[in-house]
Amino acid sequence: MSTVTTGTPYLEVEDLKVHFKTEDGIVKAVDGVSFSVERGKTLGIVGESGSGKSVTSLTLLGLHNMRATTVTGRASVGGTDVVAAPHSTVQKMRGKDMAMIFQDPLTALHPYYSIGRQIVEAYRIHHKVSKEVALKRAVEMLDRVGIPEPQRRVKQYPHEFSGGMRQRAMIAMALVNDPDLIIADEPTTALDVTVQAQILDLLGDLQKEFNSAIIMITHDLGVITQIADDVLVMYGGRAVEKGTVEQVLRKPHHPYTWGLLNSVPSLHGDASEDLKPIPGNPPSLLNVPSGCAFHPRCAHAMLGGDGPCAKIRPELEVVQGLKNHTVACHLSEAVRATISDEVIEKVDA
Amino acid sequence: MTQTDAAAIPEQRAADARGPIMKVSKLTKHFPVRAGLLATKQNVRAVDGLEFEVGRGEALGLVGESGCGKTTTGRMLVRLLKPTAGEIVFDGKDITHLKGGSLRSLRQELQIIFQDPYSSLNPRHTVGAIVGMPLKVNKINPPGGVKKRVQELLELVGLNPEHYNRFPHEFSGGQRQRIGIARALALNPKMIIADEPVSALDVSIQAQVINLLRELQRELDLSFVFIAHDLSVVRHFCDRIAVMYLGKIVEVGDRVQIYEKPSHPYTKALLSAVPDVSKIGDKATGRIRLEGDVPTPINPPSGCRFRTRCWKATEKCATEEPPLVTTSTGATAACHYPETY
Repeated sequence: MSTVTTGTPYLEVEDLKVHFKTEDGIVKAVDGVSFSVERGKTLGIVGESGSGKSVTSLTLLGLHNMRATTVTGRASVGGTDVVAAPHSTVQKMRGKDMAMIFQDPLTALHPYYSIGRQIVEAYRIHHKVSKEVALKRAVEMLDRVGIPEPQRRVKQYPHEFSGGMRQRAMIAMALVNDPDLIIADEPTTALDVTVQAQILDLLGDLQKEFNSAIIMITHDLGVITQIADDVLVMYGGRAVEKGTVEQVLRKPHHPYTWGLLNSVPSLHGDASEDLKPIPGNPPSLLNVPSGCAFHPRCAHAMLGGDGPCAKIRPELEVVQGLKNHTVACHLSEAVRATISDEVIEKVDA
Repeated sequence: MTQTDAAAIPEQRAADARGPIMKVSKLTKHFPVRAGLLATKQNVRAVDGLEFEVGRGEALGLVGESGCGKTTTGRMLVRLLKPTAGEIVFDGKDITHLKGGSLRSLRQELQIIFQDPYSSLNPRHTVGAIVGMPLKVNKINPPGGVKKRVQELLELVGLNPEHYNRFPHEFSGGQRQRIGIARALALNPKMIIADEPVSALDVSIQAQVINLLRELQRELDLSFVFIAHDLSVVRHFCDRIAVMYLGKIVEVGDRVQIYEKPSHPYTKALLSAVPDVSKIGDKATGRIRLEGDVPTPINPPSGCRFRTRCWKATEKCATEEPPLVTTSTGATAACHYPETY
């Protein structure tokens, strides 16, 4: 993807923590995550349900429940720290500086208003123009995202659109104010593969055109390989591995990343062999395991005697001197490198 | 889990010689709707003349995009829906028009696993009650009692039998799906229809459930119809795959025929749309992009239904509906211009 490197990333998140108070205790949904995205680049965030990936994005947009949530750390969007800024500032930035594409367009779009009216509303919040001008802009956007007959379609309601068309309409709405940062939370999970391919292509094209920064949240490693430049793997509210797509998916160094790669059935290779799932279930964020949160499910955990995995929480450390590839694991680098090669050999088989 | 009894094998072979466990012909489901300007009565032709067979101990995959009729088909196969036309023969019996008591006894042999492990379990019932329900409904008293049988079933699907008295909300998504599987197995069915059994689950859990289903299939000699939209999951579980488009089967073949040498252009396009983890960089090479959406099943295109999105379509495709015929790969496909290898 074409890039204009400005030196400083558009989005910089540092040690972000999002904790909720609930009846059962404190949920540490995000517990110290740092990452950054430059303009024109796409960061993929991968993780299972409850890994904190969606909460991270909602917090950046100020869409979390303020009263029950404690947010600490720093998240600079185009120079403004959205964690420290008053809510009104974040509200003004929403749509213009950053916008969100949700997973399920049927719940994210209002069933009672026409598609056009919803896009017009989003546009007029940031532009003091007449409804007619805004409607023209809405038609333009629908056309841009590949909706046929935008003049007619703009007057229709969400239920008159197919799933893929609805997702396009939502993308049109998110992009109507030319946002610099687009956060897409599982934008293609509810769609068929053929439509998913269309939407991913569209996002790539729009990114080239507007030079926006994209965060793509997904559980699908295939989607990541197709669209992302960098990857952040989250587990139990923390980053366990971070690097370029090439590094994380071709030379993965975290046992959880290995587990993900092993458990995905592939379109080639020996189908008669059983898949290698990760045993157990993702942890509850109310009660994250001690030490490395992944240790109860990890086949390589060092637990007996002086084994650190259940006792000390590993911090992100540089892998093989590659400064942008980091991993939080107690295994020695040599051991990780050997296993990594085995895992990739399997994936390529 | 124990290994299959050696003595059971010749018996199973003899069973295979008895022909397919399920044979479906001209299966059709039309839903009447009022549509259009004058609200005239029309039909959604959800399933339109399906023909296929499922062998004993075989897993047949049913794939296609949303709206292609795969779920409707699954529901007709267990007779949760009544077919508009056609015939379903299960284990030598015509089950198309069964009613009442005979339908209930059919369900002892033919069960279904649902997609959503949240809405398919009654939140007010304990796991014991849920898994034991099929026994109760059919007034079956297994040796050792219902409780013992339920605990055996829970153990079989990898759950703790001690959790007999817990409620569904105390379990994770993957565990709930296991409860659904245990319920389906309660009456020792011969065949299971699995409708998107893993698509609501996390990847790591998905693999656990697929492995469980494979183990059960081997061990209990079950036949499966496995409905899914995820092509790689289907490849892993099924021996034979039927690809559906707009209520029709466009191609049927074994794993190699479908995944390595797809005959129908639609199969080819569907496969090439799946993002591949092992291919970074060549983001668009050799990828077929289908334009637009699946047309409405109220008024499907004439001739070949895929022609409006097909890059190979000619006039012949608009006028003549292609029949399912054997192609050069040995698969069966409905296309005037199948791919050759």
